[in-house]
Amino acid sequence: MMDRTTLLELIPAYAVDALDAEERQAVQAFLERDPEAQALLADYEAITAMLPLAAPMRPAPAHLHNDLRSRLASRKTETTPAPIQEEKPAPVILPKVEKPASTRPLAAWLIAAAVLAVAIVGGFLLVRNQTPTMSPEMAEAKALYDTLDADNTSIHYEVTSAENLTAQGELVVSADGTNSVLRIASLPKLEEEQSYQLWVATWEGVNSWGVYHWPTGHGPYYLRITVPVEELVRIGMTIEPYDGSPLGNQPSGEPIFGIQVASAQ
Amino acid sequence: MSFLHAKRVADSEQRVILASDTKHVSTMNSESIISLLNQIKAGSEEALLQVHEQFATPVYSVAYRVLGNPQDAEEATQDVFLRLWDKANTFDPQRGNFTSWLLTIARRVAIDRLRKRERREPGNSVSMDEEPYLWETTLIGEDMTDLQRSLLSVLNQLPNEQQQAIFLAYFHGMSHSDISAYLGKPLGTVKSHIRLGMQKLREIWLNQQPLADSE
Repeated sequence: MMDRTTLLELIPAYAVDALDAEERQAVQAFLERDPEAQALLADYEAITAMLPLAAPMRPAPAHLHNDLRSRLASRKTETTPAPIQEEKPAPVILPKVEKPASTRPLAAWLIAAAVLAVAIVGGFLLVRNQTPTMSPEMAEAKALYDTLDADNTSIHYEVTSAENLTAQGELVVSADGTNSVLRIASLPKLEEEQSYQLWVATWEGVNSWGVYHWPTGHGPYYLRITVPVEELVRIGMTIEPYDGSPLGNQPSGEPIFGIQVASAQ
Repeated sequence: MSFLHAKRVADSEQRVILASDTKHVSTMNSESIISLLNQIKAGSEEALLQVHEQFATPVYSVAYRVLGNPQDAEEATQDVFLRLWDKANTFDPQRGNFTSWLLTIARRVAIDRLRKRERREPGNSVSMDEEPYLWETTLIGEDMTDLQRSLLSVLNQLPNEQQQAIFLAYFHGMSHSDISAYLGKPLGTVKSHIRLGMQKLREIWLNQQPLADSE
């Protein structure tokens, strides 16, 4: 157990991300309860914000400008541009959901069709008005993501897309490893009767983290991962049948992306 | 050869030439930047390209400082601007200036890339700059405050070992233990270097804070 003086002395190193995991956790806990430490950290953070200016100047290659233009153009065809709000997701966490019944009376189908038409028009208007429509769980995950992403001490693990696919995203983990949010976008569009299934591999084994029916796959989608990062080995997503993998807690379908976490610990 | 050693033997004439070409941090005023960010939020690619034109060099410079080679630095630079495209709304002018914010993102993106590279190529984690004379030429721009200039001046005057430890932590994402192993110095010594160096910078910060507030 470190005493207060020692903890205060570690704050400069905390500000430049020089602490090892155990010390960092001790300082974070200390910061939560000590206003003097918080003020000290604010000073050091103001200083570290200026450290990038100490980098030696190197003119950026001229081709980067056109490269960026090209990348923006290619992204436009692959994913939804930033200003457009997320489509309404329909996350389904295991246990698996029931598929809609396949036989219904004609009247019920007509009513359903009318409701669907209203929903489509309404949804279109919502998107046009850029009104966010997210499930509460995803909105909560997005809020946490924004917080973690704005925090310089958070750790980012980027998505590695499967070959020939364009999945994008990242896992952002708080510095203490207790809060993680997965942001994913540009998933391949699902065929009928398919779903996305997320898998979380820990040192104990692989577990399904939910079956999701996102109509376009554009995203971005935000999912909270509540497994502590020190237990995480890998996260991945596959395309599975509508109700999820027939193999239970093992993927059966094509992988979309993976994030290797453990080797970075 | 460490960059600090290299810096000592650097060609002073080259430094002078390079020092005359250091105004690469954008002089765009904050209103223009806010206006461009609003346009980016509204989906204007041209606005993003304008920001890129103004800030590509400082972002690339920070990325190069971390990654040590042009290929990775270019990729990291583009990632920073694509991140800006996705998250322009997360910049809060109340919390600091745009340049610092953007370069902090650049540093983080570059360190993420560095860590990925470490996973692919273990044992090859630190890429020291192979053109050490450039260490004398920082991103100091016309829009820097006196406080920023003073801090960087003091940073350059810190004892070599303190500056080196701070830079290894900040620009290479190395922990105390990593730095100790990398430099072959005792852990306690490394901790002292970072603490003392940062404390000196803070002294300057505190002494000049009223001046900065009145600017």
